[in-house]
Amino acid sequence: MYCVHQAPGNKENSYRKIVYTKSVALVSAVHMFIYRNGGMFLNLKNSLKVFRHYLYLLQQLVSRDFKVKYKRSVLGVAWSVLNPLFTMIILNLVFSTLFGMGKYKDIKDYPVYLLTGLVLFNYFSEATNLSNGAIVTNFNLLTKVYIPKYIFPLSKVLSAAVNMLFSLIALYLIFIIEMLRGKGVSLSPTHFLLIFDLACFVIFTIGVGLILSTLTVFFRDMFYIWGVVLTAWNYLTPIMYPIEMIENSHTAVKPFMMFIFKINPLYYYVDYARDVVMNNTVPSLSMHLICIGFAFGFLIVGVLFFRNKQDKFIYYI
Amino acid sequence: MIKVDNVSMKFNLGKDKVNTLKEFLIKKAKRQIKTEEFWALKNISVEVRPGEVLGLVGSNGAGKSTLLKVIAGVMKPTIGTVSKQGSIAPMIELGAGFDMELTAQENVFLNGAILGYTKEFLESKYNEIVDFSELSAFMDVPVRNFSSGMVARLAFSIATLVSPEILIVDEILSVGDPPFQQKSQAKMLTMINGGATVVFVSHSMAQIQKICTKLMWIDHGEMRMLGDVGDVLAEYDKYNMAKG
Repeated sequence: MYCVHQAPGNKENSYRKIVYTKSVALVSAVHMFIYRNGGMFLNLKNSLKVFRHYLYLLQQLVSRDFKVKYKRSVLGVAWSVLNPLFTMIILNLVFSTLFGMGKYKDIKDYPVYLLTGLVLFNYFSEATNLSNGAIVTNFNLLTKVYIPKYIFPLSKVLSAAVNMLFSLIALYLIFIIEMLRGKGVSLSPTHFLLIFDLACFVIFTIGVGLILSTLTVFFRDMFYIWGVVLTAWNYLTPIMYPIEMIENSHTAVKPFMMFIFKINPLYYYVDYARDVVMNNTVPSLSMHLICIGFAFGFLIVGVLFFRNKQDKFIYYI
Repeated sequence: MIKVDNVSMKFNLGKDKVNTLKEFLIKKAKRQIKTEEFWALKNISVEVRPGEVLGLVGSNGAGKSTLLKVIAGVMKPTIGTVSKQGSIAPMIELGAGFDMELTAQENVFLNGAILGYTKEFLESKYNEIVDFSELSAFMDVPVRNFSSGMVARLAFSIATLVSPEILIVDEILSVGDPPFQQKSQAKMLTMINGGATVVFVSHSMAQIQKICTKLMWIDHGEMRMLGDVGDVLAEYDKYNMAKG
C-alpha cells in the first residue's frame, strides 16, 4: 500500500498523491481488462451478425410458443386477459374488504394498484419459470443443429412479454372502469412512460433468464428452488400491500423489509409503473437511473455467465 | 473446405450423473466426484477439399456421429481445431425442432428457421418443398397426426433445399418407400456434384462406393485408416468378417 509521510503542512499534497495512485491503478486495471478481453469486444460485431441472422428463428420460436399455448382450449388467447383479471378480482375482494386496504393514502385505487403489481410480477414469474427449462428442454435441438444457445432463454422471456402485453389489456379494462366510477385515476401522457419501464424490466428479465437457464443445466433443483424464491419475492415486493403498511408497523421485521425494498429490483419497476399509471406523476431521475441500472447490470452479468458456461452444456444434457 | 486438425473429444462418462445439488454436495464430501473420462475421438486429422466426398465408416459407437457434430460446430473439441470455409448444412437429424402441435406448413417455417434459412427464402421455396415431399394434401394437418414416414419426407424436403458449400450427412438416406429413396438419393447426388465439400456417414457399402471419393475408418475414436475407398472398404470388410 502507498505510504504517506506526514510532513508538516503537507497533508493536502499527500492526499493528492493517494488519489493519483488510486486512479492510476484503476486506469491500468481497466486497460488490463480490455487487453485480456479485447477479443470479446471484437467478437461483439460478429455476435451481432449472428443475432441478426437468427432473428427470424427467434420470431418463429415466440410465435410457436404463442400458438401452442392455447391450442385446443376453448377461450384461447382470451385467457391471457382473463387470468390476471380473475386473480385481481379475487385478491381485491379479499384484501379490500377483509383486510381493509381502502384506507391507505398511498393507494388511490386498490384494483389498479393491485393489477399493476400483478401484471408485472406474473410476467416475471412466467418468464423466469420458462427460462429455467429453456436449455434443458431443448437439448434435442442443441445436440443436432448449430444454434446460438442464448436464443432459447431469450425466446421464452419474449414469449412471456407478449403475454404481458395481453394482460395489459386487463389492466386498462379495469382502469377505464375505475376511471368511469370516479375513483381518481385518469389517463394522462405519463402512461407512455410505462413503455420505458416495461422495456427496462424485459431487459432485466433477460439477464435473470440467462443466469437461471445456465444454473438449471447443472442443477435440476433450480426448478424447485426457484418456485420458493418466487413465492418469497412475491411477498417481499409491495404488490398486494402498500409500503405505508410496513412503514407504519412496529414489528421487528420492519427494518429488514425496508432494506429489502431498497435492493429489490422488482420494487422499483412496480413502483415506477404505479407512479406513471395510477398517480400520473413522472418518476425522479434517480428512479430512471435505477431502472436502467438494474436492467443492464443484470443483462451484462447474465450474458457473461452464460457465455462462460455454454460450452459445457452439451455434457450435462 | 474442411480442415480437422488433431481433434480429440473427451466426455465424462456420466456414470451415476450428478444432477441435483444434494447429490453433488454429498458426493463431493464423500470424494466420489472423480468422473470417468471417455475419449470419444483421439487425434483425428483430415482435410477435405471442395468436390471431395469423405466417407466415414466404423462400428457403432466408434465416434462417427461425434466427429460429425464436431465438424458441424455443434460441439467444441476438447483438443484441436476444426476450420471450415463456406456455408454449412448439417443433416444430422431430420425434423429437428418439429413441434407436434403445429401444422406441416407451420413446421416448414419453424424447421427452416432452425436450419438458418430466411423467411423470404422459405416462402419462395415453399411450393418446391411441398412438391418434393408429396404431402400437398396434408399441409394443414398437425404433424402429430403424421406417420413417421411422412414426417421424415417432410423433414428431408426441407433439409435438402439448398446446395450448401459444406454438407454433413449422417445416415439419413433410408427414409420413405423405394421411389422416394431413389428420388432422395438423386437429390443428394446433385447436391454433391455441385462442388460441395461432403462428409458422409453410412453403413451401406453400396452407397459409400457410389458416392465417396475418400474413406476414413474410425475405430474406438481413432483414425484406423484413411485413403482410397476401395482399399479401406476391403480392410473394413475383412475386419468385420473376422469379428462376425
